[in-house]
Amino acid sequence: MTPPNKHYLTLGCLAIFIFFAIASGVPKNASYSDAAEWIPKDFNPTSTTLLIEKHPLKTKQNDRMIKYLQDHYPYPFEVVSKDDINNKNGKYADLKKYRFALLWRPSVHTYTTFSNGVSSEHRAWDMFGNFIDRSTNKSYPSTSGRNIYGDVGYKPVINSIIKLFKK
Amino acid sequence: MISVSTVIFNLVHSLRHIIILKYHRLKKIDIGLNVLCPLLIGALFYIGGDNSGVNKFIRNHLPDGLWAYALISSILIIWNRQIQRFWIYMAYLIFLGLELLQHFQIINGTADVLDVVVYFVCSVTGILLNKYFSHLYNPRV
Repeated sequence: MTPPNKHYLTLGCLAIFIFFAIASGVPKNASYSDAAEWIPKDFNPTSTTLLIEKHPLKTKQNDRMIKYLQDHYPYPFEVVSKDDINNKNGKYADLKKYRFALLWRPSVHTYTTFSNGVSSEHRAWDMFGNFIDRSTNKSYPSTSGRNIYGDVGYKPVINSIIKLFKK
Repeated sequence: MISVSTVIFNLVHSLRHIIILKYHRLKKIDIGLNVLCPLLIGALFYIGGDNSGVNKFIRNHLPDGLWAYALISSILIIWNRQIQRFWIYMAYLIFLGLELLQHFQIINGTADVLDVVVYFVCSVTGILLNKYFSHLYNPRV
């Protein structure tokens, strides 16, 4: 048997590595271990409809987030604007049904690069979630620390809620 | 009667056979040690996610570094531990390309210059260790 051409073999090898690098962007089951600290103790996803703030980035990301929720989040939810969440007289005035809301906090951290002896500042984007109790205006702590999920930072937040109530 | 030359020929042939077998065995060990092990350890960090209990900096960057090390090692092993500059440069282009794709949000993830530094450090480590692994298993036949 003729051994495979090494150039093709190397090319195939690189393709496999690239595939895995892209596929591992966000682990499917990524979640936060401290979920019990930022999910309200009296939040019951089956008896209330969770209001989730629209994705802070573009419509495309929001559509992806809604698709992810539809596919994975088995409880009632609605993706609405921050104004709708803050407004207690409109469509979501029923504070018993729409008691809890999940807000997104975009977070930007800066890092410095050096090129030809010149330093330049860059920004990387992360996304953190925090609950609010609309009936008391209580704001709960956000998911902590820097994450690695960028514009799909909602995934570990949603996964954490699912995981906590699955038990 | 078997001549001395035949005995010597058979001995050399057997020795060569043993060396080749050893070569293949060592190559498998090389793949296991320098490609599969780093990938497996990196995968465990990913599967563990936030629950792995490991320092966040290590959890965020070590899998990337191990991935880069495994990639460089794969190239080196395919080419029998001889450095092929073209493919090494290609690997560096891939490292940069993936971060750029993340930066422009074409693929998932957060672009970070530190990731590029980790890629560079780990792949250079793979290249530096190449000399050692090359001497370890390359037969002189």
